[in-house]
Amino acid sequence: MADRFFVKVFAPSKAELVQLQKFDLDLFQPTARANEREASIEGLVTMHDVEQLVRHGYRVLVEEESTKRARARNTIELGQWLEERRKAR
Amino acid sequence: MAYLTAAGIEACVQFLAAAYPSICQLVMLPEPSVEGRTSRALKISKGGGTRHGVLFIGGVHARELVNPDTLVAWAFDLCDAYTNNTDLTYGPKVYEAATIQLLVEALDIFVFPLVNPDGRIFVQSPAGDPWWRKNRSANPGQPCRGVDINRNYDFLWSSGIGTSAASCSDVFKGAAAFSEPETRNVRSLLTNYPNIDCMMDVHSFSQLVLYPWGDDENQSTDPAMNFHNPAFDGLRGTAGDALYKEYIPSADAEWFEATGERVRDAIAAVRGRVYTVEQSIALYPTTGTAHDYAYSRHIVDVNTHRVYAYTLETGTEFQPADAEAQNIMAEVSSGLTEFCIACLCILDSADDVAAADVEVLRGLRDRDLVDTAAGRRYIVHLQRHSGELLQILRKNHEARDLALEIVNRVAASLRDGRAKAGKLGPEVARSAERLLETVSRAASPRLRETIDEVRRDVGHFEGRTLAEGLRAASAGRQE
Repeated sequence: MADRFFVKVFAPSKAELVQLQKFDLDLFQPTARANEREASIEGLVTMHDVEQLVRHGYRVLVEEESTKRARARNTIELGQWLEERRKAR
Repeated sequence: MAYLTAAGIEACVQFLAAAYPSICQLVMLPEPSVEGRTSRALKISKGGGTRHGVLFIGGVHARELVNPDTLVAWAFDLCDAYTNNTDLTYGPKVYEAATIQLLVEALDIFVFPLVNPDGRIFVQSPAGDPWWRKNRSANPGQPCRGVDINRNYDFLWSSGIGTSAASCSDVFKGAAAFSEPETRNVRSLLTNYPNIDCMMDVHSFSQLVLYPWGDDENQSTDPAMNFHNPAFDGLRGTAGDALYKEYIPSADAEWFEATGERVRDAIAAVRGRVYTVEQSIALYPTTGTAHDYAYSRHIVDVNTHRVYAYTLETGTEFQPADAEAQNIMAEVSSGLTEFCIACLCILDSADDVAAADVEVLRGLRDRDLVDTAAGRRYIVHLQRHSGELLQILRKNHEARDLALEIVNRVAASLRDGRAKAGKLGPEVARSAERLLETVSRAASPRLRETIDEVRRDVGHFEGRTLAEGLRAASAGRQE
């Protein structure tokens, strides 16, 4: 699988942001924002996707390579979790 | 603290049921996951009788790791605080022990923390993908695995709005509505526990409190323009156009907004993060989601209860680092507790009111009050302030006695079909004045403002039947 990056995609208008749906990318819908000047959405895409978006007139801010935000494998056993929970209470 | 594994979440659910057997019950979900795992939920409650239910679900999207941990941590906090009769404290936000006792004794609280166990295992496996969103459905005959569980519910599923029919998409809606065992398990909770009338589906991320509808903008003027009406097929799904807007009764829209704001404020009270409360369509329409399905059930089938259902989008990333995860768990736990309080009905803890009278009063609320503007206003006030009112009545015996006296007199005037005949005497008005004064002294500024408004109506009821009083109060507001 190609490297993926957390990005923020900017469009000049709400309508153009909504048009992003046609690319079927991993864009995080709850992060979509719009004001009078600009609209944006965050997502997780490959560099190939970034090139495609830029080609279609979108501005893309590449924030970070995805593995830097991956903490899924940082796990804890229930016993230790409960102990920490009790301490926190 | 790091994240629990899928097995750890499951073990925690079983631990809580074993450690707090007098208030925690395991609920076995009927269907194993795609990969054959058994799912369990917790039912937290003490005592029997008819009561409202609140359902929390999490772990629907596999990569959103913090939410299942939050739900089991909150369940642990709730059980521990109830059992030891202690306050529940999240930063500066304190829920008093009496409030926790009330929640556990007046509600059925269902916690289903990990709807998608297969997805979480894949996310946490070295051979897996930490950013996997869907379940692990094999999708026979299609190139990619996985269905987006939160696009698989039967709410405008066939419309395809905001979903994809391509298996490789992250919003693949599946082969049919409820094609996935994970969605069927959530449906089974709503069906098997018809007392559930509040629900929150906890996701990440973006610091949002979202309420229905997701397919189009809301409107409260044309009931015929609704998702169930095929005349509007093909017109839904574009925010900002004039072709279609989804119907929501104004009282429901007000409840969603007011309760969303309470949840927002409870979250903000912990460390100042202010979530945004908004309709879920925002910029992108969606269909097949849990909260729209849950809320739509009573419209599709009038024999089902209305479920006030939300989606909470926690935090600002999928897998926050330890310290931030702890902060999110605390603030969200505060929001979940507040949501339970908002879902309390004042009649849920009316232990001293005869069951027959409770039914009479429910009839008053559900039939008579909705007929007048003043009555509808009282319903909204009651829904908005039930939790606080209950806490005041629990603590203040004078207020409680006055409330009981009024309830009994009103019920008597309504009982046995005498609804139209029973006039309310001056003694009821006097008791109401005293009750409002007593409650006002202990009330928050927001409740006090409401009490001041209601006080101006009391005179309209003296010497009149309730129906006449409600009409007079409605007319009085228009003058």
